[in-house]
Amino acid sequence: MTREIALDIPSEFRHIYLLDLVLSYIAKEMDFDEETKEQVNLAVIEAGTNAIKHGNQGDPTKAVHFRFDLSDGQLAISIKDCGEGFKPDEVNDPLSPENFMKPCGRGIFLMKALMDEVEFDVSGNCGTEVKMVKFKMSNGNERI
Amino acid sequence: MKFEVENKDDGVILHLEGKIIGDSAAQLKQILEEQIDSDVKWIILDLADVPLMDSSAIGTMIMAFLKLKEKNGKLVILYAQKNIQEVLSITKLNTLFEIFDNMQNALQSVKSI
Repeated sequence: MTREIALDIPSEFRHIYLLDLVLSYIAKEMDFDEETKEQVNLAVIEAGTNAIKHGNQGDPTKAVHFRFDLSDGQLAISIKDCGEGFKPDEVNDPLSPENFMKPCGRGIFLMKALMDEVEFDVSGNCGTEVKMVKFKMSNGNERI
Repeated sequence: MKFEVENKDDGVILHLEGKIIGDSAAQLKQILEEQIDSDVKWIILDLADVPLMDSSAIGTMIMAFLKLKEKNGKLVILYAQKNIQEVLSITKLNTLFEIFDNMQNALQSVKSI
């Protein structure tokens, strides 16, 4: 059975703390171990921060929409903004020598490293939708 | 995020507490800039009570690291929790920052400049 939790927040950074609270609840519902919980938490915070900053340009009248689909074997997450969209292929590699010392540009890289699946949908009428999945693993480190 | 500044000769130990996410990165930036502008030579960032830090906060640490380096100073990290160590490792920033798990070694490092 899949359960859906939805959350809309205005595009202001202080609301990231609300997201953090919801993610703690979801991690408990999913029975994630501590490491997985923090990986999901950071990946969603990075996606939410990007949606506020780059998607909605910090406009508090625009919302960022989060949807969490909880099922036995995985947590699927959607983060959607109302911005101009972007080209995921043009995002710089933060590990390359020219970018390594830059203070920004690590959010998407971290999301990809911390989650099992990450994809960007810019085909909608407006904005970007980030879809991410974290699989639940057994003690033997196999997918449930 | 809560913080406490411990003044030590020509540097400071900055004890941070709480998750550094959302608008906390801006708060951290302000705290670090105030210290750097007050002409400290080194900063030890004590992250023992920081369970989570996002990439904006990490970017702020890079900015402070570079500003201090320009002034022949130094910024090092003390007591990074497992999650933060993982993020620094993924981003290879563990090759940029010196990370210590005891105060004595951190102090030795910053006082060697």
